[in-house]
Amino acid sequence: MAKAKKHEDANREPFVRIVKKGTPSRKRSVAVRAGSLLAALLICSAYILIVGKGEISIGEALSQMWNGTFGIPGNERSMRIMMWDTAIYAAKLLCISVALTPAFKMKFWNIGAEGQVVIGGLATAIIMHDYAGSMSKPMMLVVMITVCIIAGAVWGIIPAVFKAYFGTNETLFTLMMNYVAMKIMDYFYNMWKGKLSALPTFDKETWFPSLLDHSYTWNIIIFVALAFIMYFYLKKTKHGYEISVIGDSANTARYAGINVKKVIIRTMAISGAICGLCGGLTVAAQNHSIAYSAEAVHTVTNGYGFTAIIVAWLANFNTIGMIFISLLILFLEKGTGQLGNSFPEFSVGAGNVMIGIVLFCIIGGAFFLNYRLVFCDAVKNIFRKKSAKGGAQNA
Amino acid sequence: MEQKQKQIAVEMRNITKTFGSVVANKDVDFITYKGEILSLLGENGSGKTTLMNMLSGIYFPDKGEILIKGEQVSIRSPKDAFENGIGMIHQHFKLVDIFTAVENVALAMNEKGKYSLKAVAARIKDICDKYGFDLDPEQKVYNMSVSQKQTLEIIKVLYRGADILILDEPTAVLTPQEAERLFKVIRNMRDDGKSIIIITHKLNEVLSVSDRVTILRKGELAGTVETKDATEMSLTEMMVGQKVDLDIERSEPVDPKPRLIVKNLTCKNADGISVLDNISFTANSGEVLGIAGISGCGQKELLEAIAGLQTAAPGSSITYYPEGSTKAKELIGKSPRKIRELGVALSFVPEDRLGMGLVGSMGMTENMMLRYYKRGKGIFADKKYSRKLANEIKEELEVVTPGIDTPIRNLSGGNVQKVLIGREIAATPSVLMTAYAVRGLDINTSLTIYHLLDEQKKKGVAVIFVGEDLDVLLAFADKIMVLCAGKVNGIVDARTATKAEIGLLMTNMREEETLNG
Repeated sequence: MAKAKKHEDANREPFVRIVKKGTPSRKRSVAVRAGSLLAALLICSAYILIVGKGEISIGEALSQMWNGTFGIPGNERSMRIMMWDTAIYAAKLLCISVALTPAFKMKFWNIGAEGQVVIGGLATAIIMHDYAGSMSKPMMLVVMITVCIIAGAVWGIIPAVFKAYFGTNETLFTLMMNYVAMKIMDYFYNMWKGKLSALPTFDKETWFPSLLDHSYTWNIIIFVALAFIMYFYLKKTKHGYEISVIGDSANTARYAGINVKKVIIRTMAISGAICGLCGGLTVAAQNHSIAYSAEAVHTVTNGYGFTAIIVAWLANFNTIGMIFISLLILFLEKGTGQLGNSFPEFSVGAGNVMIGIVLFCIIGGAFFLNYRLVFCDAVKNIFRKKSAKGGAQNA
Repeated sequence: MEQKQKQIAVEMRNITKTFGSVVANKDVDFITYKGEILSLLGENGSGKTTLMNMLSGIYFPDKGEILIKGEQVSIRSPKDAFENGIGMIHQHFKLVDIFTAVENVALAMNEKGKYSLKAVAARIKDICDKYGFDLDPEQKVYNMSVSQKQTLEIIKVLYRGADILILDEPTAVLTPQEAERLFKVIRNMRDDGKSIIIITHKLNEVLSVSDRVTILRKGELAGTVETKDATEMSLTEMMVGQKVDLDIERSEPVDPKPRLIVKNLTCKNADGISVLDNISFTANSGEVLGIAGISGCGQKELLEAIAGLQTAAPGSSITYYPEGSTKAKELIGKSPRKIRELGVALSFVPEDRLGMGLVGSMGMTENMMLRYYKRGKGIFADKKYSRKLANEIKEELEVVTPGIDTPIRNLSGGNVQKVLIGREIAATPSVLMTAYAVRGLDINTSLTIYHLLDEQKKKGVAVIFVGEDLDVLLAFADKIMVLCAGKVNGIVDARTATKAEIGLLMTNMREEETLNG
């Protein structure tokens, strides 16, 4: 009996096997990406149908998400407000993602963007709060921009120095630096606020000048420009080349005579400086104030210091591709927010669930770029019977 | 008559296995009998290990069937393989360093009854006595030599009751004496009725130890022969598919002059242990200095110290004498960049090709840039010169690649090495250091590389050649320096030295130490 079972067992093929594919062709990568998005859409649809108990149609839900991101079609005022809002937040997310990219390409896992943005924003805020009117406006703007860049760079350099000279873990180090920065900002916030219920905006004299009705237009222009500059910095310059080599193998870099310590510190200075600039510009041109770090709205970062990590990875460290990924994330974030406003079923947590579904599908889909699943003959036979022609058979 | 008495242990029929677009095995038939030693011979990349991995449950064949003792089986995991009495000893040992030998054997054994290390130890002792192994069951793995670890791996497999043993390149890391001891044990196991399959590409071993040879070529079966009917030439021909002249070129040194003088070189690792201990030697221009030693005896550190990648202890000195000049240059304490700026034309082909010499995710052009990206002023990296060089190397060395911008980690090992050596030779070195330059390469590529190095030697370059195959070192080098535990154990003339002599130099220091301590 036991022997018979063993024999039967022995003849069974594994139910499913993972088989490595060669380098994916362009066609295949496009197909996989499209497939991932389609899968995401399907799962999200199922989710909408289940949570909405079938009373909310998918079209309706999607159109609400669209309205929440780009405004109600035809309604010019709504479209203008929504699109500007989406643009500035997408640009901010883009900027932080771009800032992270050189560090990530070097395999330096900087998850301290949050803190670097905050400290940059705070540095600018100190100038705006304490030195308003003490110098000419152009001078003022130059100082505001300079201090946020320096503050962000310092916040980036500290963990880099420790990593380069003592081999500390940069992930933990940069993470902890976030909380230090936030608490410093809270200190200033409380000090300036005093007994008021909230901190008023800083002196208008220190604000960025308006362009096309918004002072944050500058931010959008600068942030998008940075994406292009970073693209060329990484692709074409000596610095960019050094970063790529270190990212692949620090030993090869040493062998080639690259000063690895110097490059780590320099690159983190750049990464932190861009984060700092993002924080400074957000305070100077968008918020005109700072907020308590635990507050949900009007904070300097919106938590984008962490979201940007996902953006950078999804775009495969291509800073121009990040423009689209940032918009996608904004669509999910704002769209699901609107969905929650319109339908109470989706008010709590639904947005995060759907963002999770989409990210899971995109990231999980990457598996199929390099691998495919092979089912055992029994499964194949079912499949073959269903499709009479059996087009899938191309061994 | 004799044939009939043989019992088939394993039969593989029509096995095909592909990885992406690479066909690792195609319609391979394979038979092993009970009580024989079978060599599975083939060049690197011919699919030997893949075929055996399908027996040991690591891969599952795309097509074909496997029969064990005449019964069709399906091996889906290493556990299935064990149940069928198949055990594989991999090239890279799978042992827990901080455990003793017994603990490693007991690990993952799901035996019924009480957990008793004593009982396990007793059984290990039985196995040792039966086949002539020498192993202390209480020794911790991190204290073991490579050969002891290998012994432990074999015992582990035997303990689990395997009667079909697969050994993947078992002698790659052993000295000639250790290899001889291993072969003795293997013969004992054969006489006990076990089937032993040895995966190898070393012809002399095949001839000395095995009963039959199965040869694979480019994933396909090239044939099976009785060892007694085979010669080195006939086997090579089957492996490569054409007649190959196995002779390695060795030109006579012309006007050798000291190029690099190393004196009292000592290097310590992070734990303060000397990895190089008071090393002194001279590398002459127009000569090949071979370096032999068991792996991990300081070869890597020595080359890295010369290249400026290791910190040397005070008192060490590495002096470089440029051609036609008496102005000596001291290399100690200088970074690779400083050394290059001094005008020292030093080329280095490190052991870890993709982890140190090249960048795997980059194409040929960008790998050339490792040396030349700094050319020109301004912030932009220079790519033009490197692209030109990449094209030249691709042409001259016949590098097989879809294009000079294809990531080189997608290339075969031989082509990767051609890219690396090509770049280092293109820099017109006066000292050329290579570590395991032909490891993992097929015969023809290996011969090309010996030829390239010999050409450099003729040009008056001081070549330092770290090798693992003693036959090659004896045939190719002019002098051989033998390292043992970070010390120079002797420098011999390669034209007169013997393999046994070098084998002894590789180990005797260790025996002395055990005697003293």
